Amino acid sequence: MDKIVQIYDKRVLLLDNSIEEETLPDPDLSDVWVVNHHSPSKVKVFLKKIIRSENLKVYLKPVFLQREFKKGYEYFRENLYIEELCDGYIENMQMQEKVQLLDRVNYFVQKYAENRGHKQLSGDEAILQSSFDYYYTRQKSIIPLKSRNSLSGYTHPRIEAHFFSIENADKYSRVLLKGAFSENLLDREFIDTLHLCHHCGGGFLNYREICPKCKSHNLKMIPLIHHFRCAYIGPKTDFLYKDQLICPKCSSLLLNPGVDYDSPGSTFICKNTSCNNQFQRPPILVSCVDCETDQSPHELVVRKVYKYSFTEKGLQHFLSLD
Amino acid sequence: MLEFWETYFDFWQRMDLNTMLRWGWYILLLDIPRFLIVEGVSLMLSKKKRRETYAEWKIAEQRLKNEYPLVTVLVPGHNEGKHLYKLVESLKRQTYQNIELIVVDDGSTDNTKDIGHNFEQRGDINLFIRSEIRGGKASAANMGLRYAQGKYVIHLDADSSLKDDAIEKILIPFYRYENVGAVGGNLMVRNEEDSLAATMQYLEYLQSINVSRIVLSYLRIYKIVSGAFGAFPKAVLDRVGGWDVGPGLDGDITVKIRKINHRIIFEEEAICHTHVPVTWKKLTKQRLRWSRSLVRFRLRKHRDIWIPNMNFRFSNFMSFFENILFGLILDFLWVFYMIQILVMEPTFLLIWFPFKYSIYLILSIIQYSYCLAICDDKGQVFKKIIYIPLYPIYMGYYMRIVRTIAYIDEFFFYDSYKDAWNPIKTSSKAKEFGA
Repeated sequence: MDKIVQIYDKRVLLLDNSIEEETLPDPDLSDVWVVNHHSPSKVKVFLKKIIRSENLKVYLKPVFLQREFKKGYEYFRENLYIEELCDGYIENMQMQEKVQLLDRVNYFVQKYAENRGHKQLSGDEAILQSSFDYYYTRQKSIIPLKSRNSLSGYTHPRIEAHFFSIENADKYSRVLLKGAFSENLLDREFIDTLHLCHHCGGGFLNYREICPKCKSHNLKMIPLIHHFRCAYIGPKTDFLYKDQLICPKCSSLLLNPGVDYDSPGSTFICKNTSCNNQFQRPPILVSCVDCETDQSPHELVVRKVYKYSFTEKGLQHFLSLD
Repeated sequence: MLEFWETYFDFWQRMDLNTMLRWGWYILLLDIPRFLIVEGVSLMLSKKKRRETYAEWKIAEQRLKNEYPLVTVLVPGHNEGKHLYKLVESLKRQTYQNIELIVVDDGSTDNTKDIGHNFEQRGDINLFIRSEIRGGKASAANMGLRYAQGKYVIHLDADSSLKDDAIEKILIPFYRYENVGAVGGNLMVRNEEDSLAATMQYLEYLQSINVSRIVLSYLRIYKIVSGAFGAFPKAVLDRVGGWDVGPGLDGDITVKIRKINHRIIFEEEAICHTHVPVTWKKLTKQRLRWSRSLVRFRLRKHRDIWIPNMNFRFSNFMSFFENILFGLILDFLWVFYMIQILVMEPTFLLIWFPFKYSIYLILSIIQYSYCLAICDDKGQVFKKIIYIPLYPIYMGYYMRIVRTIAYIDEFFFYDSYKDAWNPIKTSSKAKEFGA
C-alpha cells in the first residue's frame, strides 16, 4: 500500500508500489496523487493507465510529478513528454499552489461522477468524453506538441495515450479529432504544415539530390568559373593546378575574383564511376527513414496540424447528462 | 522632266572610255570584274565541279551514314526561351538523328530557365546549362563546348530553323574532303515579309551569302562561318580553345581555324532559315557591330596574317586581303570620291548619279539572275523582283555609310569594346589583352 500524507488538509497519495505493480489505487481514499517513483518508463505506463481508465474519478484525478525527479526522467529521451500525461511538476509538495485546480476537479467529480453511470458510450465517444472532461476541468485547449518520437513529428500525447501502437496512435487520434471537428464539437486553429511519407505517414524524411541519369545520390557540386579574358567557362576543377587557379585555355593565372574571373553558377558531377554524368539541376528524391520508401517531393502527403478547443455545441454535448 | 531624259540619253551617247575611267574607274576595274566576271565564272565552275563529282558526294554521304557519329548541337543564347520549342521540333524532324542538344542560357532574365529545364526533364534537350551571370556569347558557347560529347559540334542560333536535311548536309563535307576545320551553312532570311528592311536583307543574303560564299569557298578564301549555322569537329574547337570574346566571334574562330591549316568549306545545300532585324535601326546596330569586328579582328588581333613569316599562307592572306580591300579600303575611297565630285563638279552629280545608278541596276539584275539560277525555290525569289531597283541604293549607299561609320568608330574609339552586346567585365579584359 502506498503512503498517504496530509498536506494543507489535502490527502496526498505518494505513488510507488502502485506504479511498480501497475495497479490503480482507489480514487476515493485521497484527493491528489503524487508520483514517487524514479523509473520514467514505468511512470509513463502508469500514467497512460490512468488516462485509459473508464472511471471518471480516476482519469480526472490530479496527478503530479515531483520536480526533484525531473533530471532523472529527462535522462531518458523517450520520456520527454511524461509531464504532458499528467498535471505537471510540483516542487517541494507546495500544494497550496494547486488548491484551485484540486477544488475545481473535485467539484466537477462530485457533480458528474454519480450521474454518468447510465450513459452508454462507444469507444470513440468515451475517449472524446474523457478528453473533454480532462481539458474542461484543466481549462486547456488540445494543443499538438512537436515530438521526435511521433511518426509525423507532432503528437497529442493525452489523446494518443488511448491507443497502443505508434502508427495507430497517430492515425486514430487524428481521425477522432477531425470527426469531432466536422460534427462541430471542436473548433480548430491552424498551427503547422507537414510533408509526410506517402507510404507510412512518417515525417522523418531524407531529401536527396540525385543524378537524373542513374539516380545515384553520391553527387559533388563544383562551382563554374568564367575567365573573362579568353571567355573560357568550366568547372573549377578544370582550373585547379597545385594551389592556384590556372586557365586551361590561355594558361594565365587567375588572381582577382570579379576582375579576372567570376563564378556564374555551379554544376553537379555524379560520383558513380559508371555514370559520371554532369548536370546543373538535380531532381530531388525523398527517402523515408522509417519505411525506406523513395518518392519525389510532389508525392509526399501534405498534412495540416491544428490546435483544437471545444465549441459551444461541444460544451453542451459533453456536459449533458442524458 | 523631259529635259532630264534628253541629257541622260545624251550622256550615254557621249560617254567614252576616258570619261568612264576618269569618273567611274572603280565600276570598270573593280565592281564589274568582281561581281560579274569572277563571281559568274567561279559560280559556274563550282556548280560544274559539284555535278561532276556527284558520285564522290554520294560516297561521302554513305561514309557519314556508316560511321553515324554523335553530333552536338550547341545553342548558346540570352533570353531565347521563347524560341526553344520551335528549335526542339525542328531538330526532331532532322534526317540525321544521332544528335545531342546542348542549350546554354547565358544569364537570361526572362523565363528561359524554366522553359529550358522543362525541356531537359522531358528529354528534348540533353543538357541545359545556365550561367547565372551574363558572360557574353563566347563564354556561353565555350561552356556548351566544355560539356559537348559529339564528334562534331554544330553551332546554332536559337531563333534559326533548319531545313530537315540541314544537319546531314552540313556534315557531309567532313567526309568529302580531307582536313576540314569548319563547314558553314547556307543562310536564308525567314522573315522577309516583315518589313522593307527585312526584304532588302533577303536579297542581300541571297547575293552575299548564297552566291558569294559559294565563290569564296571555291576560291578557298571563305572566311566567316556564320554563328547562326556552322559545324566544327570538336577536336578542332578544342585545339583552338573555343570562342574568344566577340563581337564577331564567328569570323574570329574561323580565322583561328584557318591559321592551324584547316580547310573551311561553305555547304550551299545545308540550309538554315534565320531571323533578321526588322527595323532599320536594329539592322544598323547589327551591321555596325559586324563591321567593327573587321577592324578589330582582321587588322588588330590577327594582324600576323599579313606578315610573311613561317606561318604565312597565301589563301589566308588573300581572304583577308579580299575582305579588307572590298570592305574597308574601297569604302574610304568612296568617301573621298564623293567629296571630290561635290567639290569639283557639283552640277555633274545630277547627271552622273542617274547614270551610275543605271549601271548598278543592270549589275544587280545580273546578280539577281545568278541567284535565280542556283536557288531551289525560284518562285519565291522571283516574287522579290520589284525590290531590285532599291538594291543598288541599299548596298551602294546605306551599307557603305554604315560600314564607314563603324570603321572610323573602331579605328579611333575602339567602340566594339564598349558594345553592350558583351558584358563590360569581358570587354575590358579583352581590350587590356588585345584579344
